[in-house]
Amino acid sequence: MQLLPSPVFFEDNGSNKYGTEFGFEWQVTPLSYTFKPNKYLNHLSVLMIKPVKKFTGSAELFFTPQYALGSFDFSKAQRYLYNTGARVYFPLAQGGEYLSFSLGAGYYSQKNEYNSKVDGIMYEAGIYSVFGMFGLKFAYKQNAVSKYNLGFYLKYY
Amino acid sequence: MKLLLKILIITLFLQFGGCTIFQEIAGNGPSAFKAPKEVKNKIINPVLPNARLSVLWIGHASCLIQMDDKQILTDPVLTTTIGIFSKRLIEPGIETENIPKLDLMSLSHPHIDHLSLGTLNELKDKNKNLPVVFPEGVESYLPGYDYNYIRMHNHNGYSGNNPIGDSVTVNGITIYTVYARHWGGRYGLDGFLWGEHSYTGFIFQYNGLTVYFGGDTGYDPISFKKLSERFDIDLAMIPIGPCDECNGCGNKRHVYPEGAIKIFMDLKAKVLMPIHYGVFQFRLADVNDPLYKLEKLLKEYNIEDKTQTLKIGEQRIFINK
Repeated sequence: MQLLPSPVFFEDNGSNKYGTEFGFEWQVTPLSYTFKPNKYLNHLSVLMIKPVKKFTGSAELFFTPQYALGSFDFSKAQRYLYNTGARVYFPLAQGGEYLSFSLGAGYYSQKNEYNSKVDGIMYEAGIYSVFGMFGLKFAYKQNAVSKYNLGFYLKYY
Repeated sequence: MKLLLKILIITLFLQFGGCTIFQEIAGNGPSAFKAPKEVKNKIINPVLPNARLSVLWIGHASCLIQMDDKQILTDPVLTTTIGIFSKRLIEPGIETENIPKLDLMSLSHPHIDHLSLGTLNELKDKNKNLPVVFPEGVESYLPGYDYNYIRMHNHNGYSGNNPIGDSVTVNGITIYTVYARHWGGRYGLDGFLWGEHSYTGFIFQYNGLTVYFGGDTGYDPISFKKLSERFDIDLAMIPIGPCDECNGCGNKRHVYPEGAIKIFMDLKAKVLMPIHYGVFQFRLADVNDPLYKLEKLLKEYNIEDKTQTLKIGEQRIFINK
């Protein structure tokens, strides 16, 4: 679970105008399963996940509330939204400490200007470095008014 | 929202102000684009049939110790960088493929200059089920590679009066976790969250030979003397850095050369071998400053003949068969 949020940019796409909005997201991981932990560590983690358990290879459930600081002037979407789903981490270099990546999919939910729910399937990919403290995450939301999100993953150990 | 941003900035500052990454970036700037200095005439076969006790200094705290027919590797770091930003200034003293099949590996603590996941990954295929000993807490930093991980007690960072934490015998080698004064953690704040006490020194005993490996430690006027009452140490491998001016015994959690000499004298060991210098940049200092200071002090303490300084890549026999 993140104590402090990570910054994220949201696409703000209207019928003929385009912009971006800046905001934050909180990354909550209710459950994580490490594929191959050492014998002293459990496969499962709840909320608190040690970096080596995550970035050496794991699958996790996530819940990510997001909040845009400014209003979505073009798409007229409401500022608060959330994603939830599952993602998998794979190490690429130095046990994932130097480089790792993730792939995920799930469900997003947001409200439009008429307070009607807009929801659907979302996909995401992330790349992480420096012991998993920094990363970039890209998300695509099918049929959403704000389809694309680019987020910075920041985690302070 | 401004408050949130302030909290974020303060947290980032504390994160990097508290650990060495920021200093590493500053100190490593000039060397970031240079290849590490070449080590010439690296030893290809370090297994010596005529040696009872020998050490090949790979660099920093990485040492290949031969005790009769046993090969022990301490704090192996063979990668070009540690923590991404800190580049080694000189190559490892042996090629990875020339490290013989090991009988034991030890990890003194999880700091980036003592624990390299890249190195563990490189060595794992040749050393399947190799016993790897470490103090409690280090398991939180180890991937599930196919080693025989053995967690040893250290009295929560040797908080009591007993300088011996634990002992175990594997492959005929008896390993003791012994007093060290340092700190744990790997990333910064984690040292205070779940890894604070994950550090130790080691004593290895085999066939009547005893080797002390200090890892990284500060000086304590009581604990090392207590160890000398229990162990007759043939070789003490003691850190002498990092430091830039290197005056005095050291700080709370590191010894400088004078502190290393005091540890050596308290241990009543037969030979001192300085380690933990010469490879990774520390602030803007010359990486060999600790050695220069040590050389000055050896005369003063009259232990020149008991000190053996190795070059990186050099192998020295301390006791012949």
